[in-house]
Amino acid sequence: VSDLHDRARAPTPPADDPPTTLADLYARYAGFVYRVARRLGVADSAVEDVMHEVFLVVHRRLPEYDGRAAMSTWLFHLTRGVVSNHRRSRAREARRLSLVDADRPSVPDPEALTRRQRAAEFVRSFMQTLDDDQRLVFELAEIDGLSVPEIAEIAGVGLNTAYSRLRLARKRFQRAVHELRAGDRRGAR
Amino acid sequence: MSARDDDVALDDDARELLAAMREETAMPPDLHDRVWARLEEAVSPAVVVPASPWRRVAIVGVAAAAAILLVAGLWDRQAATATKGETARDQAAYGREGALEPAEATAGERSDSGAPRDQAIAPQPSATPGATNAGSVGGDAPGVTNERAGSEHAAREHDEASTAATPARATKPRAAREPGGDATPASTLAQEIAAIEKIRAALLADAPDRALDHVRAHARRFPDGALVQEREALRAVALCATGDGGAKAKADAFIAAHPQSPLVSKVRAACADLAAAEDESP
Repeated sequence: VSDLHDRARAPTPPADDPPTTLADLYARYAGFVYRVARRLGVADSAVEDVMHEVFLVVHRRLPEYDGRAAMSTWLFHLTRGVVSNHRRSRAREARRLSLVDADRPSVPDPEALTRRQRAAEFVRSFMQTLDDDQRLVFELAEIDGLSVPEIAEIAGVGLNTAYSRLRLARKRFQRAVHELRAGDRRGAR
Repeated sequence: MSARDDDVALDDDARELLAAMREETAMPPDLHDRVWARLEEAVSPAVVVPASPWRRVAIVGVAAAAAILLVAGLWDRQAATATKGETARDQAAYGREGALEPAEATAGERSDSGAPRDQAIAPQPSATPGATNAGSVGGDAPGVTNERAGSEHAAREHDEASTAATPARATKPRAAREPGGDATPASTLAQEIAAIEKIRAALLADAPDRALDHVRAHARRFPDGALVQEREALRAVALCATGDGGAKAKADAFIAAHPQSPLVSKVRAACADLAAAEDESP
């Protein structure tokens, strides 16, 4: 429980010291790259290949990374590029094949999973109510745990704009949670 | 606590919901391990992330100095060898080996800056021969070359030596760069990303004219690149930022050409801001 609570407060805290090896980098950012790839529409069946490709490119281009942009920014854009290439080849492939996206296996606790799925579905639905700009900022901050300066870099906006978008999105999210709670109370009566 | 936490604090319920979302969208551990296993097979994970630009400069300086010393040392040895009446082929071989070093210093900078000798370590190092031997270059090379000095097969074996013995400098960096030869599509993609980043950076710095210069540079360099759509979106944004007369038309053209693009809202927003500013101006 405390572990869950910690994660709730600090999803993936970016460490102050930069990663020193590809292994270190992978350990810190694989989850981030995975989420970005999935958010960009990469299917379960293809995400392994996409991630592999992303980190191969990372490996190749590491010598060019000069630290001026945040690592998360660099990885975000790189992942997007790889996903873009993947989409093209996928589109060609899809013309010939009907691809089925297999669901993720692994269901340890059906009750907990249902609760978690319901909660995640609520967040997902909420995020769909945001415009693209707010959604990007909200996702990167609350799901990926990036700092606002990193988010501003990724979104290509100024710091104040990023803060403003995040503040608005969080307000809306908090309001939605209040409404959900109120609905639960009404249902319980 | 970061500045964003000061803005709007989420209550425990909200945090729990977000935690659930993070759990739900987390990378499955088995996938994490599978991808890493494939990476280990494909590359040497001991490649190190380059340090800050200043540290790079320092490393480049050290590498350059080392290269100069090495060349000087080889030169001395070459001269000494010549006076001992070594064969002309040996001299040629030494000359070739010496001449390689300055060029390799650049490679050394890229990889060594990435893989400083004292920390070329990874949690799961795969085959990274020579990773910790870089410091022995000066000691190994002379021994090896002396052994070969009287050989009948000097030239051929020197070639082997330069890839097998001297190699702590000569081959390791190359091996680290091999998968990413500049001609590979992936490296082109990364270059393209870097070019796009320049456009973004210029826009962030509120320099739309400079951004447009970078847009044109990107168009010249990557006419059929993977990020053409992104470039054209940024072009529209930059044009709107300059207040260019054709900006709106360009933005509309982009939106018409890519109606499904996630960048449409960005372009629209950038040009809507411009329109709003025009409305507000007297």
